[in-house]
Amino acid sequence: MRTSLALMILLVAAVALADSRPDAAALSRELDDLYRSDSSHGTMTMEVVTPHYSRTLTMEFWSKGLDYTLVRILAPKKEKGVASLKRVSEMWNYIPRIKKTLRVPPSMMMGSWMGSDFTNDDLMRETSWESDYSVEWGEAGGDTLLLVYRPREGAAVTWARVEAAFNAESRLPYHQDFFDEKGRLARRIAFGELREMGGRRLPTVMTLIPYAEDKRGHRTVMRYDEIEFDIPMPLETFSQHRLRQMR
Amino acid sequence: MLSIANKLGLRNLWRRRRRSILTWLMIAAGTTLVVWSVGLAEGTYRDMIELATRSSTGHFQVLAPDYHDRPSLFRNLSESDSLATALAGHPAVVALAPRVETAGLLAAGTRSTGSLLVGIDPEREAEVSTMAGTLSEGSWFAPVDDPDALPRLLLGAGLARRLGVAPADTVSFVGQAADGSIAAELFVLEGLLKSGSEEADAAIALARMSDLQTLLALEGRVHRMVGRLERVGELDGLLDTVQAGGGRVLMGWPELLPSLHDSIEADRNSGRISLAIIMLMALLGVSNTMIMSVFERTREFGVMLALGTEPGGIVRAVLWEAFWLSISGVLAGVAAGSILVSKIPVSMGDEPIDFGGVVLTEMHGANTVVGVVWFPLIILVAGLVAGLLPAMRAARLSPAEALSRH
Repeated sequence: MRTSLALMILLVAAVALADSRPDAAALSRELDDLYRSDSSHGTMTMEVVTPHYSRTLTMEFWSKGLDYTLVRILAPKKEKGVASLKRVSEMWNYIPRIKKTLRVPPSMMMGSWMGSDFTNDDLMRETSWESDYSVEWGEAGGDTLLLVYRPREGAAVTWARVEAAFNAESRLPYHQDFFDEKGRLARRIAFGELREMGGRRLPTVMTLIPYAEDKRGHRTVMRYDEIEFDIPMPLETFSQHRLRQMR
Repeated sequence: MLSIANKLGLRNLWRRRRRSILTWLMIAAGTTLVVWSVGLAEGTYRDMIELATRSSTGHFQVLAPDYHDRPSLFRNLSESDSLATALAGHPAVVALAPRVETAGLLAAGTRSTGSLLVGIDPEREAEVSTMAGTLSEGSWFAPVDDPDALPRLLLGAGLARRLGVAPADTVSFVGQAADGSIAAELFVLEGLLKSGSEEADAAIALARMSDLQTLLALEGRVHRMVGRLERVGELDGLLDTVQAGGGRVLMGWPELLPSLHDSIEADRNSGRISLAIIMLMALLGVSNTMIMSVFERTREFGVMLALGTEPGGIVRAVLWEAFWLSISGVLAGVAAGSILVSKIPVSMGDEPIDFGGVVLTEMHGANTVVGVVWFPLIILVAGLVAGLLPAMRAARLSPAEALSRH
């Protein structure tokens, strides 16, 4: 009798434990939605630090799902109005000084986005992330959950492996590590400064540190200043016409 | 006063005039040929180097370390760099011109292309390179009165065709500035460049250096100082005497254009083989004549030895003979050869040398120290050696043996 009770407690505990670990794909989707939800709008400050210069940009952004993003620089004055539009699998930059919309060609996907250590690919990849990578649980201890992403067969991807570490309880991300085809850690995005914003609690600062030899001393810090979620967001928000609006 | 041996040598030459003249002609003609062929080759190299360096590279450059191998916006040096200033005042340096370079996107209408954009000082650039001379349309950075006017741009004809633009059209440029910001500017196409090299004309884009420095947030900074020398031959002296260091390097054209340097070296080395053959023929002629002339005088030497002449005296007499013959022949050959080199260009006929789109139709010789001193000196020394061997043999004969020969 005693043994069967102990067994039952153990069984219940095991079930409960299993339940505390959600479906990997679901957790992955939570991360995707964290800053985007159905739609999002807000402002952020991006600080880019390199051995040669450091600069700070204030930007306003709009997003709808994973497929639509519009980002426009508000300050400094020299670059005010420079904007970046992503629509499903296409991307354009608008540069007011030359009054030109430039399509970002596939060859420039690994190029810097807005002079930061983020690449154009980072923005573009969101759309195809789920079809490019398969996700499974990785080994992690304590209160940490680890997701491991590996490219699906035939997918043209930049990273050979991506690992995302989460707090098991809050399900909020600690960091994301990106590995190249030789298994070397190429860069890390760390999430920090948990705050209440737009009606949810989330890390409001993302810090990207590249580890490549030629990126020594580089750092990009993205800080969300304001964010609102799930507001009405017509598709026209993401038109070429809106890309060119300086406001 | 001439020594007895010397007198004997000269008299022997005189006694056998016909043979002496023949030998002399052989030495003179061989030397002429050597001096002439070295001169033509060196002259052609000089012209090739001149053509190649004049189009853009210059005879030497001052740059930040590593910039040449891995160009970067940030590998730059001060416009008033002390080394560059010192070089500008160097007597061998004719001109020094600064350049700023950046890669970016050139766009017009719906067309765009990645390109290198080079910022130049129009006046100083014209002194170091022939870029200004390749202008086929428009003007070479004419002064602009209106301070608000858009900056000017010159494009290679091929690049302009790719962008579908003609002079007076607007071309935009997007790149990155040294402060990390986006460098974007509209330029007015002021003219087209046609160097004759398709490759160069598809890639060249020029702007005023001051405009680019503002656009790229590189005030007072440059990527290259391009220099031209009075003569390219002065490069080695310059590289030996000027110390670089301190965050910049001094590079000569062989480092800047290694493929040209290598092909010249390869050509020079293969040229040495034909030179060696010419010299060998001349030497065989000389030594043959010397051996014959000593051999037919065996009895005479026997008499001299029998009368008590030291064997060394005979050697000296024969050596003097060889010396006068060789030196007069070599000098005459140097004179004739160097006149041919400096006065008479050789037409290439139907097979001109094509070099990077620039064609050499005539070879202009150049007299160099190697051509007019060292190679003739080798012939002179070899002529003496050729005389020495039979002379030693003659001296070793015993008088009785020598006298018994017929």
